[in-house]
Amino acid sequence: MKNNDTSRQEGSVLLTTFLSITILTMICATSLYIASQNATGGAQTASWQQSLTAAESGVDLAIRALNTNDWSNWRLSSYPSGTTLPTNEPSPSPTATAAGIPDSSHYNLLPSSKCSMTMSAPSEGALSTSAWVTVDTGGMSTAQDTNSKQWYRIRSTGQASITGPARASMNKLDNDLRNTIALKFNRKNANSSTMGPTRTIEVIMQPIVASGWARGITLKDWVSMSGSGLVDSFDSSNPFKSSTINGVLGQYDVTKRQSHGDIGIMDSASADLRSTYVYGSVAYSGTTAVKNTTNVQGTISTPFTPTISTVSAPTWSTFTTVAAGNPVTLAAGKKNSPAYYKVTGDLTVSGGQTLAITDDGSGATGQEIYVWVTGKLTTSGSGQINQASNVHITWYVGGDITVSGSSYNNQSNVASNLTINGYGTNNKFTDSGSANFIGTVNAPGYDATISGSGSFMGAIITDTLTISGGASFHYDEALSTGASSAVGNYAFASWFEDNSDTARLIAY
Amino acid sequence: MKLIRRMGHGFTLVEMMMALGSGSVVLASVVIASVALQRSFAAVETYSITEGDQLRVLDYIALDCRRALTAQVSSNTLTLTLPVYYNSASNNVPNTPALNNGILAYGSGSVTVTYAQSGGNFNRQVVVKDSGGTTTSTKTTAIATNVASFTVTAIDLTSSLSCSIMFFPTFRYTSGNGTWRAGATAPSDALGSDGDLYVVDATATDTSTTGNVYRRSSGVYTLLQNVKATSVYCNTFLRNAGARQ
Repeated sequence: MKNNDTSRQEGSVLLTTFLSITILTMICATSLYIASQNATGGAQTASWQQSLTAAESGVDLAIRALNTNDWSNWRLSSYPSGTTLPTNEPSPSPTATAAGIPDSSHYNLLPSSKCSMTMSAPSEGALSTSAWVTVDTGGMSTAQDTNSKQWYRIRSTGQASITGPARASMNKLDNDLRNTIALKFNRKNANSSTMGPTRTIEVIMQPIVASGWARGITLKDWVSMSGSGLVDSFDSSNPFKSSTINGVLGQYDVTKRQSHGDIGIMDSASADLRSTYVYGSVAYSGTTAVKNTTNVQGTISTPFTPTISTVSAPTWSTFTTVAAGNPVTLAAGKKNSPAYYKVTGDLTVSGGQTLAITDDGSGATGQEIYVWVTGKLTTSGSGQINQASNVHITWYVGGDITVSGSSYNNQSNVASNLTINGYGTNNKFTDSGSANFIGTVNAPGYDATISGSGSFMGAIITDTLTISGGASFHYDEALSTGASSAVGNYAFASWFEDNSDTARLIAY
Repeated sequence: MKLIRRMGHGFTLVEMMMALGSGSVVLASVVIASVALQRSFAAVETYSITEGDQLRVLDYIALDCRRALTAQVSSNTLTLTLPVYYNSASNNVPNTPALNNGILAYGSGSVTVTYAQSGGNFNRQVVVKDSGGTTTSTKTTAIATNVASFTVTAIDLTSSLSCSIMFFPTFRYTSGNGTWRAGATAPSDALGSDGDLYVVDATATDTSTTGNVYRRSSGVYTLLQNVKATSVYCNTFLRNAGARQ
């Protein structure tokens, strides 16, 4: 009997031990489950971000190819049907190599094998990423562009390649956003042997034509700024970046200020911004840094070594001679038959006088006029030059250029319609009017001064530049484009991430 | 027989006392450890859920901001318009881009995505309209719950937005399981009833108080502690608004 009592005691110990182990096992199992879910969620998030990085890398490679016309590693392919791009990466890849930008019936393909990266050390997400990229015209034609240039569509699908077993996140919302029922699911290529989250970006690239006005202020020497003015930019051709004021489109609006008021300085020795606000970047060359750049909102870089073309006097053989002094009217001609005038000596519009730059009376748009002044061009007091809104004028001036008083009234309010070329050296350009000056000044040998209460809207190339008083400088970004110029590079006009999953009826 | 007799003597009082004492200590340790582990697991799980909510919210906002054409901010409601990228009449395949005199567009109609707080939910609403302005679909999804506050500020509507979202703390205060409330300042005692909890959210004018948690007891709110890591902030760049178009 005593032996039996002893057995019962041993059994209770076993039961207690068993229960304890069971409880501890359940706790451990719960812990492992939670840890596993957290790891899966973390891996899903990380690999989803990795696939975006891969897709953006693919876009970068496509932009590089467009800008450099270097299509190494790219293939040329016909559309599978119509002008519809494939939804899965073509396999095997087309054998034809891409020799240049695609025409309207083909697309260029960068296979994922040519755009891949493998991490050497384990990470939280995938160990390798890749992207396959297409570039095509997307059905867009040159006739639809204002400069008759071709736009292109880039579509890049990035993928983070997951190894190991299929895993699912515990959260449906995460799966809806990241469109991965399991990390092994490839919604963009169900037949692929490589699984993992994918993200697709579609970018539309707009051709940017080369122009001398790619920068607001370009100086062969230095800039000196003071007063309460500032430097920024707007785009008179874009309603998102300018406003309609008093019924006139494309006006500078401080609430739509842009940050491309860039300044280029080729000799920084005497350059001093005096803490003026510059909503743009400053590039310079020289042994000393530009002074007082505290309020430069963009980057400050060096060197700055552009090629500034010399401005020379015209060599026209046919023109209308105009007597020096104050001509009352200069009429333009149609675009295909511009009017040419030459003033030998100074052209002065003094107080109470007006010089009208008119069209030819037909009212046709885009009329052209060229005026060559061998001496000084001066407006002063209440004197004013009134330029009709449908006229584009190009001035060539050999002496000082002074715009003051009521100054120069460019009625189109479009800077590209007024170009003043100064071909002299050691001359001055002075804008001290009370009204805004809207135009461009290309006078690399001139010392420029912008003062008074009116602002300068456009772009300027001079030797030196002094901005004082309340005058501000607003670079018009629309000047960077021009129909007659060649394509300089491409900038994106639209960016969209296709996060859809048609199989699960998920669109936006 | 000798052995049997010895076993039959049982334990002495001292032996029993020591065995009971040791056993009690061991059992108490197991119970305490189990409770602590359970609390730890619960904390880790809620932390994980909250972190997932935060990442999801930020990823959604970043995704839509990147592809938005325009953005509007009003009363902490963020409204984005997206390109009409999908052709709803054709199984949502992508529309072909249309270029007309330098103006780029996808499809016709409009797609509007709105982010706003509604109670404790943070909602994402997608409204699709056809070219005639008729709403063809409206889908509202609570992409996060347990939200204390959502603030959105337009740094510059042509370039970037600043967003912050704050979640209610997820700890379980032993004697307070009432309603969670939130506000920019310390709570008034007239608010709610005993047991209610209150957190100073991301709209606080004094940012040092953000995350202060109060509990109402005997008609008075008392500061319990400051809870960190329940708010997330992001500045999101609007790519299309900055694009040349």
